[in-house]
Amino acid sequence: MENIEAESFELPVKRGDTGSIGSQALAVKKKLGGFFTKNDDLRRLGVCIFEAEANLAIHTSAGGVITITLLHNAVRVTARDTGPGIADMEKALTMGYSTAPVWARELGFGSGMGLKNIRRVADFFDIKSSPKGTEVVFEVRKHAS
Amino acid sequence: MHLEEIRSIVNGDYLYKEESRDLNIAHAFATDLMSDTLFLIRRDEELILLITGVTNPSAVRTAAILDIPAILIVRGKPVPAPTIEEAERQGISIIHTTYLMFSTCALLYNAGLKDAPWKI
Repeated sequence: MENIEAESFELPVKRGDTGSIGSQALAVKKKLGGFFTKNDDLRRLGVCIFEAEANLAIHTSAGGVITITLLHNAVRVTARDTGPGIADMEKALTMGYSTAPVWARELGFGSGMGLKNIRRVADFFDIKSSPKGTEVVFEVRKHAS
Repeated sequence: MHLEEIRSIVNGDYLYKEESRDLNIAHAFATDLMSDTLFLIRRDEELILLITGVTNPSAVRTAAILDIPAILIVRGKPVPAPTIEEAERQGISIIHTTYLMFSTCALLYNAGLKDAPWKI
């Protein structure tokens, strides 16, 4: 864990910055390579952050911030934005339902799998949303190799 | 199946070849949806080839996050320089073919590549 500078750090994600989707997820994966002993755990974390990053770039009014917190045996991730919020949470958590614009789909995103994938892959998942913003919290825990 | 054999079967060209690894690939996943690709987790450490028509840098990042070491871009679509530069940064080989995805998959399946493990 020598390469980990702090127990918590923030990563900004800009609205519409489609050329950068995945950059923050890869940076975290590289930075936390020594935190997990199983590649699968590191991949799970990377995938969840990737999905959160895509959601902030595609679905928000002004982007958002991803906060990474290192716990004793897990990494907690919080993705926050300032709106417009999720109008129908049940639908948003239904496989295949998507409100993504055409430009996002042309990039290969927006098929209605993102939030569902985070919920499927993470060891803990919670989401709160209002017109003022959405907060997604998830954790990926360490497993013995 | 070695990457060079894959390239030969689809009559492709390397846009970038990572020379530090001799890739022996047994599985492939074909899609234009990076969202679907991100379902490829919880697996053993088998090497997977991503077959896609998506040419933007996010396709490379999607592969990188999943430890996929090689991408085969189909339909002869032009690949922008930032995508190739991202592949170099991530150490991911890119092959380019003019075959359509359907034919590409058929050729590689008949040659022995199998589905990557994917579960919804």
